[in-house]
Amino acid sequence: MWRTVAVLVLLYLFLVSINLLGKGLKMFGTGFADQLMATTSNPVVGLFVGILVTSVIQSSSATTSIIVSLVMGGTLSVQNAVPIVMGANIGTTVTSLLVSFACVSRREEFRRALGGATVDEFFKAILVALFLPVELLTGFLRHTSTWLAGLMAGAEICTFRSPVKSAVEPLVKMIASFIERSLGPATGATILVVVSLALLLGALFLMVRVLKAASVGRLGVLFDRFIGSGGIRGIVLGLVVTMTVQSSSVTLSLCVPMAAAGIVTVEQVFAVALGANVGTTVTALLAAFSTGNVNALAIALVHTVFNVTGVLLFYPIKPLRRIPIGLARWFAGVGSRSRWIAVLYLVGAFFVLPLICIFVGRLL
Amino acid sequence: MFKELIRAWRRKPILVQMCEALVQMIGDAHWMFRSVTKLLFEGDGSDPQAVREIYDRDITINKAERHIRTQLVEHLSFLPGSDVPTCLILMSVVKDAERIGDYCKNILEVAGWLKAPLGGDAYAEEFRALIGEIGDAFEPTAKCFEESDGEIGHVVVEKTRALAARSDEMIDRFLEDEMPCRRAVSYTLLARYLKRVAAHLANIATSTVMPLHKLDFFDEKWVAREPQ
Repeated sequence: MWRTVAVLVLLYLFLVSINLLGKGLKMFGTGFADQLMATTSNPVVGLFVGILVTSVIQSSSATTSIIVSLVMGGTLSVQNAVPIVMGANIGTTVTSLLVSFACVSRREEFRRALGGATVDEFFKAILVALFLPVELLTGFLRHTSTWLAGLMAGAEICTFRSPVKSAVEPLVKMIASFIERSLGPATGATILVVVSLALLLGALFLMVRVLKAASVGRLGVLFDRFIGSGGIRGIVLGLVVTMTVQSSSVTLSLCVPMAAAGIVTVEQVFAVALGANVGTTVTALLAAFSTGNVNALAIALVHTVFNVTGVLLFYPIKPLRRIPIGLARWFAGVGSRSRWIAVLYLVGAFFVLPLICIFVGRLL
Repeated sequence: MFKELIRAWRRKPILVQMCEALVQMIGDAHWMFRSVTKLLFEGDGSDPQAVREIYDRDITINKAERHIRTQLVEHLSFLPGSDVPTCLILMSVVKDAERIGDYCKNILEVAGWLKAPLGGDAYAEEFRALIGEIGDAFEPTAKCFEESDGEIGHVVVEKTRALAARSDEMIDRFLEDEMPCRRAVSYTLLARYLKRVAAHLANIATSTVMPLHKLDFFDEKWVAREPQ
């Protein structure tokens, strides 16, 4: 009972923090917005910003929720936000990679763990390599998501009424106006952004923990029943587990020890990952609904459409499906033989390369 | 699919499922023990139908062992740190239950070597008594594990250790006897296999009496020291 109450309270605080962050960013004024727009106007930089931020906070849900706030506040356009969302998708896989290092002392277990941990990374990297150029050329994701957001909002307007928004708006208004009155617009905006970011990350982190603690026993039973099946059942398992715990990192991290023990194969982990990638988009959708902003809803839907399209594209076509699985197996072999390569990959792909790209991108 | 999800969600916790599966394994091993010893005294150890049924049950036991091990990894992946002693005990005793199945198959081989139902001498009667008492130990073994009942566990350990000693004592007498070679080999191996079955039952029962690091070993001094 207390867990249900805790989840509801944390969810409410999470939604409040999203809206507070949006308000705080608006209070910063156009200078901050212009600077952020300029930084993220380069899609490659945007992609690596997404990877780096998500690798650090280890939650794509948190990153996309922050993006939703930025879009809601008008400091980030949907167009510039799309590559960041794609980067967040890649960055979130760092958690399972870190978990695989728990088996580093035993080569064979590490090989299997690494295979399970990296299959989703390779899949997402391929997906981004395919979708980013298409998105830049056609705006496929942006247009599809904006159209869907328009359909959901009921009309092509900037804001819409949602019951979630009605629930959080009074408290958001009260806090924002109190801080603005007490501290002034400039200091108030900074405090509001810092406090709401801390609240967002804290509420999401605690929510995932409470949900995991409340359901982990049941989820273990679900895994026991479904994990060996692979295929559609694996996708459904990943979807259900991730929607329950609100974190794809948790779902995939749970698969890694099982992969290390050899009770699940890379193929089976891949099926779970496909479902988890879709399941994790629910958090940003919830956040977007609380804002009542069509653009915020559109960027949350970009996350969903991107991952759903990935499943529809890769799962039915066997040769395509084999690419990330084959790459994960190959890398697992290399990484387990020369473990320094695995360490180099972790540090390089998720931290050093994004930092270099962001730095170079800002210079250009 | 949705109904299946709901059904799976409502299933018992994995740890409970594993303990129940082990009790079922002991039940299956008991069935095998009854079947092979019945063939030893009454039937034909090479009856294809009977042999098929016994081997099929052994396959069931082996599958259950592998499933419990899989569930152990799943359980510890989801709840790392929780129920670790129970999981390690399960990992150990599941092997004992599986080995009983293997020894039952070995007893079936002995039934085939004898070429006729066991009987007609004093040893046969001794074997009948020994087999009867070992057979009687299966249910309390399952019960003590299922209910984590140290008192029953203690009784089972004492009883099965005495039965194992009786098997050894029989082998000592076979060494002094001048019986035909086929019978000597068959009796010796039968006594040895019965001792192993009793010892594996004792191992399962020790899990309710002894601490984890003393599993499979019965330390009377430790039991005497430990307050119940």
